[in-house]
Amino acid sequence: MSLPYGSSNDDTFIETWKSAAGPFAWLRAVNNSPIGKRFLVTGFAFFLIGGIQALFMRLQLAKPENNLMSPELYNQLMSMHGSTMLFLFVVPILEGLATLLAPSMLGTRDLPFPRLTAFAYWAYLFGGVLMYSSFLLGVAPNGGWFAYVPLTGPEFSPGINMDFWLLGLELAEASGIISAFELIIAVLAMRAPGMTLGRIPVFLWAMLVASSMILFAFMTVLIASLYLELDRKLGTAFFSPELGGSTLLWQHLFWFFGHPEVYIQFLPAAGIVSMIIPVFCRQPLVSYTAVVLALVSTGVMSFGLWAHHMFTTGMPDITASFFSTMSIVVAIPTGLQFFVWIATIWRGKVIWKTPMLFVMGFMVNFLIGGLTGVMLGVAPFDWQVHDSYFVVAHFHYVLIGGVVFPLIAGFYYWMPKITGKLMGERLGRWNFWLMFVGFNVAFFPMHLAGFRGMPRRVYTYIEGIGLANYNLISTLGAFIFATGILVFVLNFLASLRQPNTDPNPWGAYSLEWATSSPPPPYAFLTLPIVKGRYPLWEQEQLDKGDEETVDMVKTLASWPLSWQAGVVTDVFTGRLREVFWLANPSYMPITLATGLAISLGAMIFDSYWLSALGLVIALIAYLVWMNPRQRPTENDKTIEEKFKRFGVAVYRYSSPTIARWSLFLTMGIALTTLGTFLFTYFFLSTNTPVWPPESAKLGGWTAAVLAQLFTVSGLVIVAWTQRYSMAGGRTKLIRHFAIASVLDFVAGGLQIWAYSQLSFSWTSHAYGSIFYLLAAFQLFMLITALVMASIALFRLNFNHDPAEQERVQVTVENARRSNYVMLACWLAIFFTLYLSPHLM
Amino acid sequence: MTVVPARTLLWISFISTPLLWLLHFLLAYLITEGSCSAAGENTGIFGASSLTLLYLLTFVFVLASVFFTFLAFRTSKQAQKTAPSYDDFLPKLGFTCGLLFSFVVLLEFIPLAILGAC
Repeated sequence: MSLPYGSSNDDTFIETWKSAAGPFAWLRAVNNSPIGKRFLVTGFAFFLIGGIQALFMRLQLAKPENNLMSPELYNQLMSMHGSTMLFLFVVPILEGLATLLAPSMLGTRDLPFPRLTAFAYWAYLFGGVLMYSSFLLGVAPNGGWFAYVPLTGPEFSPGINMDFWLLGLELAEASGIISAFELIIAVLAMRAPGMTLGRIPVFLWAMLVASSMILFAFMTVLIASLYLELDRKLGTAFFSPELGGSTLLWQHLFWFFGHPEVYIQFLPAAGIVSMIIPVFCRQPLVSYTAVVLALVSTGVMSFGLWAHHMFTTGMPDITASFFSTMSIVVAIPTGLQFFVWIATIWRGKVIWKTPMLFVMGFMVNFLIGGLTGVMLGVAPFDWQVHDSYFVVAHFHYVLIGGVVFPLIAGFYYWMPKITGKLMGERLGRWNFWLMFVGFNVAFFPMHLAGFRGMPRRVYTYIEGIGLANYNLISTLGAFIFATGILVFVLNFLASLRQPNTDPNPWGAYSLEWATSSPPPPYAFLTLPIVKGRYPLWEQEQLDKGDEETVDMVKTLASWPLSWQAGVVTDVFTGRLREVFWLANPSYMPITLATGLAISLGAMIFDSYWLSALGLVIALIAYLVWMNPRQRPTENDKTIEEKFKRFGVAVYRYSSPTIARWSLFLTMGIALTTLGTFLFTYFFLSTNTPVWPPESAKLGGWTAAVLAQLFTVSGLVIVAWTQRYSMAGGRTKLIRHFAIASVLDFVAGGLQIWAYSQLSFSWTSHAYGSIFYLLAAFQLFMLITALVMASIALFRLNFNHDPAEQERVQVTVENARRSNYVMLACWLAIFFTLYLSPHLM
Repeated sequence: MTVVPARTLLWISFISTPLLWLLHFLLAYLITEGSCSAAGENTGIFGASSLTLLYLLTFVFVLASVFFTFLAFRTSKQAQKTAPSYDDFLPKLGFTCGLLFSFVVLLEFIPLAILGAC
């Protein structure tokens, strides 16, 4: 029997990609396949836990004035249910699905940073465990998944409940950012030859958009959590109105994350739907471009909706109208997608298999959720139903109807690529109908309960106000829905006893179906050559193409075999550009995550020495991670020369292209952080009649101005290095970077001296709190630029290996770019702190 | 001779109008936040009426959006000549985004014209 496309029977190659052996080998695993599966299993476990919490809440609400549980326990269950579903289930499981599937869908071998993939998983797991460990001490978070201040501030939540939430969340969200970072780079730079941007599977377009959103949105909630933890632990005043802080600041930052978060979850789900419909209608999407346009525009527009969660906080009519308009306008791209799906189904011939049933269930439920969303976007309507069960019904229709249904559809559809097995159709239909009926029975009555005035976030309600029946029906529906989930679990377990299925049991079109079920760890030995959007439908053979490309993929299939090689393709042309080394298994990702978890966990109990120890462990793990002992040794000059003739460079370390993308995205994160800090500064300034407070005297003006001059001079010198090439101007490059580093160092010293002259501390008032935070960020950026310059200097001085000169070149470029970003931050902060008060 | 469009131009043609919309939205929000009290009184900003500033802002951003939409259209035509080896999908997507977001900037302006500044 011939092997499925891309599979190998070469022992060396199989051994290279095989999972590490040994009793603790699973702790070292780094490749996308095992890590993706772990994300899925852990995410689903959190889903079950969050679901059980919901069932207990529904039991408590089944009848009026019930005393099944105390208000405190209800608050804890409610807070952890929301937090689990939003932070520990949906986003991680979607990122896990993409981590697992992206390489085979893209026709490549792995994600760009295997060790980072593993770290993201461990950080996610430990973040979740940290949050849940609070139950062991009976101090589970109780301030809601939205954690509004002042309820969660030091005055009204003096216990450690919310510290577990805040610090666990920091770790779990950091994991989300890291996974997003990897997926962006993988989709943009690591694709099969010929897979241009217009041929990327829609699910990966959706993940690309959602991942880009994560980079910006998650930073704001991380920063808001930082403010709240600083208020709680160090006595800063970000949210203390009596000291110039603002409780609304939390809502702004939280919802600037929270609303895009809904779309971060919905867009990948919509991507799943766009993948499934063509397969089960035997009909390509009627407009691929319209779907991608909808994904991109929904993603961007979602950043203009956050204040519609705050209509009742008191805002000028015109401000409300901006958010109201956008809340309605965002329905345009969503509707566009909907019409494309309907038209595709209309033109095709539907095959009613379980994945398609769930897709149809999604379309019905999400339509209801979407329409009630538009209703809530109308400010006067929102004023009436705000904080009522109508809102609870709406967002469950969006999040379960719009995300969980497509996710379950995706599991049925892709299970052959996860476990190698097909799930049963008979149980699948039971699964669907129980979930569909149970869901609507549970959540539709909530609209009506909301209209009758049932407030959300309450542990009980009084008898005789017409709410009892609605609540009883909702509880019954919740248990029917839970039975559906149970059937899904049983179906999954039953499927594990089946033999592995064919590579393409659904007759699908995308590349993951070309390889075996489940795919081998390397996905493809011979990379497929893509000529259209539906390669398995449009191409008879995947290894045919222009002569040069065929030669390239064949060469890559024969070498290297003893080290894991990834490939970089051109963003626009989809041509192979680089072959590079993918890092091998390591204990360092789990060690780094453990160090950070210890550090954050110790902070909850104010054990700062243990926290510092955790950081030291993390730092050591990072340094070992960055200096792997085993480098690839397999060498073949003839083949490397051949690659060179194709314009493909071979690197036995990380790819320069990926290094450039990484720095670009990191700069984006740094600028988002700066933007959030500056928003905080100016937002707080509008809340106080006198800003800065009269007691806040700025000293050290001369030193501060001089510091800016030194950094600008340093930048000019760094910018000048663009004139010098690596070949001829190495000495000048070294000299310029050394001088710029000295200037930056002096600037840092002067700025610290200027800050030492201040007459206030971070606890004096909100102005002091944001002032010191901006100052700390300024110095952090300076240190980062200095570290980058030092690495560039080190490599310029000591790395003369001709094969590694492009890597040195990239280090120099990255040092230069980080210097630009550092200067932008310095000048923005100087303007804000020193000059802007005189303009306001 | 077929001219391959510059890579930066391809990115700009794709991302510029969504970013312009976002910038317009945030600036419009900040201007009203800075100049309108919750009670709806208009205190102005930087010595100018916030309404004037918002009119001006919208006008400039609509013009810029239209310009970048046209740029995306032109880049898409240029890229089409080199297709399929060079993908014209990004500028084509940029052109459709341009049409949508130029319209959205205008749409956002409607309540402003009806309600006035605050």
